[in-house]
Amino acid sequence: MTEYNPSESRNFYILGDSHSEMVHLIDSGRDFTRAMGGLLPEQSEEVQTSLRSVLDVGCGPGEWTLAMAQAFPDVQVHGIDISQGMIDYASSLAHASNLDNVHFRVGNALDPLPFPDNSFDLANMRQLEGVIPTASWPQLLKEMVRVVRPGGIVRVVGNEWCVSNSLALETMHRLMLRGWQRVGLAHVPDERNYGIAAVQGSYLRDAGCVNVQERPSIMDISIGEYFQQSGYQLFVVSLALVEPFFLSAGVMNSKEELLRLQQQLEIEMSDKDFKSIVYTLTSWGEKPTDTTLQ
Amino acid sequence: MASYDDIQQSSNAASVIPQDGEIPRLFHFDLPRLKQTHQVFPELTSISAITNVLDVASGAGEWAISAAQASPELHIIGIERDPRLVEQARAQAEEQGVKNVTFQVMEPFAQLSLDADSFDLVNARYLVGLLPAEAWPQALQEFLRVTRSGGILRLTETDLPIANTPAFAQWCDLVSQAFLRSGLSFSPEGRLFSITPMLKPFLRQVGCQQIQQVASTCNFSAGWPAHEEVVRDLTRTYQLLQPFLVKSTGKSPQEIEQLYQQTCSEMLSAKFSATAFSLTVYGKKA
Repeated sequence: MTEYNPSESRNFYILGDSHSEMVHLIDSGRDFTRAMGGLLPEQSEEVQTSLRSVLDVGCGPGEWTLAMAQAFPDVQVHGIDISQGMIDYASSLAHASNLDNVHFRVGNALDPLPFPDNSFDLANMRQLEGVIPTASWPQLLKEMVRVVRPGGIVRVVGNEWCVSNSLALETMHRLMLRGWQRVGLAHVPDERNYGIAAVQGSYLRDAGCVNVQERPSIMDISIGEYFQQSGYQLFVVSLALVEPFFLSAGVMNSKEELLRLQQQLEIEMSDKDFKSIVYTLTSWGEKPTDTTLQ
Repeated sequence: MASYDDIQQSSNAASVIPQDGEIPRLFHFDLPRLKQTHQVFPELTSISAITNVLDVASGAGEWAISAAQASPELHIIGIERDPRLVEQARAQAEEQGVKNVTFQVMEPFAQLSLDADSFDLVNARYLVGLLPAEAWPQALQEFLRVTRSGGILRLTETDLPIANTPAFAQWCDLVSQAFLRSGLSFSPEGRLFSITPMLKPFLRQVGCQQIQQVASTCNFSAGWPAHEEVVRDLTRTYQLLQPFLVKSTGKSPQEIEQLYQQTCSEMLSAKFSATAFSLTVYGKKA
């Protein structure tokens, strides 16, 4: 099992940076795209047709990046991720799909982005609240603004994960949130909320964006709902994958404790009365042009 | 920006102290958008079939008056248990010259003295805390009784706002724990209210059809358009919540007051960043 040791590796993949994490991220990425209503559901037709180049920061196995390249054949889509394994996997998927407008490269989002100023029409960052340390967000957002052209868009999608009537699921979130506090991933000073939704709009504004707007979406993972199975995968599978994180962050003492929680979670998420909704927020803003600055 | 004293003063002027630790309606996260867009039911593609609207637990008329202003073709009736709030609502409507809204004193979570099938839409917003968790199905059944066939029952709730400051977070934690202990919460352990995932199943349970869910968000960070209004609302409603928190948490009035003051001053700091998700769930009566 991979160690969770971000201060050494500067790799904050909570779920272990493994093959199972890649498959998991591809599946959950597709589910989120569907739940949100598309790849860029909040952007106007005008913005979508004007796109020529797009950057996806922390692209992971490239689910959104590849789907963008497929949906917009005239757009050059670039994905960057810290993990060589993720980038190899994404590149092989691109090759298999015969996509020549998608470009992947290894790079750490904590460093300056390896692109010149004003290179992209849109820079995207989706669900990185669990991997980018809180302290690095302002600088990363500034970098995204730098590489976007004036009038271009910086877009952040963050999750508050979920609210439910399941004790095991609420407990899992409590433990995860405690871990986030300990390793410097939390955006709010409490162990009840991930908090990214409360701050991502302010981050965009503080990085210099104008016309910052927000759009929420939900994924209903209650029993009998369309995303029930996705939710089960999302939480039951990821609970197994977060073991190194839980143990190294000290929020759990033993594998046995985790196993018990996992069994309880499987039972409760299959219960006929299980109810839960995942909340997602998309925030986006424009890099000012000379006119919008005035 | 309004100073803390301004907000305190205007909130004191507008408040009615609840009796015996009674809980006020805490949230109005739908109002900034309503006032900005003048769309009363933004999730509905057509509102041409909607004229008669019931607003349940209408309080001081906050939503009903704004909605009546935004859509003059609607006729809105607000029902509210507290006669002092009904007086306030009437005075407010009068003062603003809004004619298409009326208010009645009525217990909203009992049998309603209203005819069956009489409303095109029944609106119930941010009720969490106002009635015991187990009383929801029966209350909704009664709301549906006064809805006409083909009419809409519409619920809007939040699981709690989220902010980046410590006293605000601690206050929310206290509220959530107090709601849990008082049987008002749907959470198994009190992290959040867990009310929003219950709304669709509730509507299904009482027999609604074509149930839809739509999320909305209210960013009330410092410098955002909704900041001043939401901070004013929370400053007022959190003040009114103090007796309930004293009664249900075992903390002293001084401790609660101090946390309240810290929460209020945090909300006015330039670094304050906050949002609230709300979920609107609506369905048709068969």
